[in-house]
Amino acid sequence: MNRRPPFHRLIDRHGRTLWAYFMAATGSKETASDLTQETFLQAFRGWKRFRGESKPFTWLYAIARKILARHYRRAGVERRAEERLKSEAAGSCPGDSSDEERGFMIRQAVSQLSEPFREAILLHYFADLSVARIAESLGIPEGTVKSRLARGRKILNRMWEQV
Amino acid sequence: MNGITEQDLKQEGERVLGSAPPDLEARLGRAVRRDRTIRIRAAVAALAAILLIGGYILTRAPGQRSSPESAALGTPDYLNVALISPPEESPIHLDGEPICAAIYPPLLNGVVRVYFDEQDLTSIAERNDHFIILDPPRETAAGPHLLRLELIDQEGKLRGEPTWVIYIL
Repeated sequence: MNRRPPFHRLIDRHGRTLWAYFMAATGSKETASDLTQETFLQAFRGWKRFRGESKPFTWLYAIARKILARHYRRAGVERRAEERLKSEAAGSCPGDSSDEERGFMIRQAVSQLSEPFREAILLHYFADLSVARIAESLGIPEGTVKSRLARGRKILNRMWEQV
Repeated sequence: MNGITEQDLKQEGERVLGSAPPDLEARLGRAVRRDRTIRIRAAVAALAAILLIGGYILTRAPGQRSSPESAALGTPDYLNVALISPPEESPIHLDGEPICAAIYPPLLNGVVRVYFDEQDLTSIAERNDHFIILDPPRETAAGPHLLRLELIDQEGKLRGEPTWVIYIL
């Protein structure tokens, strides 16, 4: 039995979630919009092949991950983000309010985490996914997600103290 | 400065999510539709080229055979009408690829009427001399539907009435 929902429903349900994921990962609204669009275009082209064996978000997220990895590879974004973090730590941060400044630094710190922790933090806090849904999307037990979140937060705090 | 608490992460997550463009979904929808149209037009152009070359070769070959489609249409000259999308017996989604049929040779100055479940949808179909593209109405129920074309040449003569069953999911 085919359990695919209409494609436009995927956009309505998961468009913002993926955008927030990309935004937190890249720090740029424009890049987030481009990568979200690329994800949905790729998804649409492969929509016929989606058999409904996994949940649509799991499938979309698998595409999003690949697109983000390719973006990092192409643009050397990680290296640039690192450089930006160093310069921001030494000088001023973009944004007018201290909230924005702190938010920016939090996102930069998150981008420095190694992938398993960064992914868990991005999906849980930025893409607003539950632990159960992250576990399903990544194909790992819920306990692993919880421990990645806890360890990720601990590493973030250590990084914050150093800054 | 205090450390990063779970509350900080939640707040920043909410702030990021809240900063998404308000028309994000509409923009994504438009991008998907635009991409679909571009890909269909490219496929249609490629097919048109194949049909033109194929037609040229056929018309030049001695003792050419009549095509099965034209026999089915009962037309005196060969007139092929092929359903390009969906592929044979494949179901379609309402927001997936549209229904697309190719006509060869082109029906110059003729009229093509499009009937979907015997409802005349000619006005919403996209048409040129070679192709008919139809997006079934959004409210179409899932299940089998009948698509019928009426091909009328410039002299007002009915040249063919191909009919297909389209399955909508």
